Amino acid sequence: MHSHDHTPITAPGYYEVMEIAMRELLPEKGLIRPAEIRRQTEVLDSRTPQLGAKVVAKAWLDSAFRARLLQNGRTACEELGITFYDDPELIVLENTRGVHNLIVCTLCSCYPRPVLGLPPGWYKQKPYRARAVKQPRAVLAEFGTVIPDDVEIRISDSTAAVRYLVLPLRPAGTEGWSEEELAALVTRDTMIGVATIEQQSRRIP
Amino acid sequence: MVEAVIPTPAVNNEEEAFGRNAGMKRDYYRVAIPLTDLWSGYAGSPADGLRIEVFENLLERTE
Repeated sequence: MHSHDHTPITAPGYYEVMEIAMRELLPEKGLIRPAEIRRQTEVLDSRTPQLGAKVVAKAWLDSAFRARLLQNGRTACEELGITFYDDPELIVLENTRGVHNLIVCTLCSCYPRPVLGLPPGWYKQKPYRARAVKQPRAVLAEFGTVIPDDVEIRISDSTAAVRYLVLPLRPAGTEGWSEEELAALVTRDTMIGVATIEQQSRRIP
Repeated sequence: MVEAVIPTPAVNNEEEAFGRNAGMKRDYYRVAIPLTDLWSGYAGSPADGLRIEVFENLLERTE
């Protein structure tokens, strides 16, 4: 096997040098303490898609909560004890029988980290970022997701001020399910919009 | 087409990044653009669209 990386080590570029300088200067000047950086990293690493799944399941069961969630994603998530540690707004995009939402950050890797945790590798890489806005149906098909032509695909591109979360469609046949049972159906990819719950879980009774 | 104003006004990042103070805060707008307008020969449904936040300085008033 020959799987390790042979990329030659090169001198850091201009922006990398700027980033290193900033990273070293901030603690040196006393603007950020090393313990604060450690704590923030710990908070970031503690978030998982289970938080988003809880939000989705609650929205399916409680229409007043769903209305508040669609009105202001951030304050509705805070009701469930999910804290936000940065400034961007959270806009929750509701999938319907006529509209399928997909999220992307064409610039970099903006992602609803407070409710989903760290983004998957492919989300940060250029092929997804470039193609999601240009060939969304082909990209979705590569994820095994086929959206009928009479359903509108709405791609939301995060830039600076907003993060997005997709509220997937509740699958048929889940009437009477508990919040925990419903939350177990909701995966990361359905909240990014590259999958639908009905297509990924054919085994619903 | 502008669909919504993003709730929190913000400074102009592109000016601030170069050390130029952008002054007062302005709004981001959530703008809807049909994919058929963005990409010639777009093969999907004509209803498919992009939503993106655009800072106020990049928009012009129509009417």
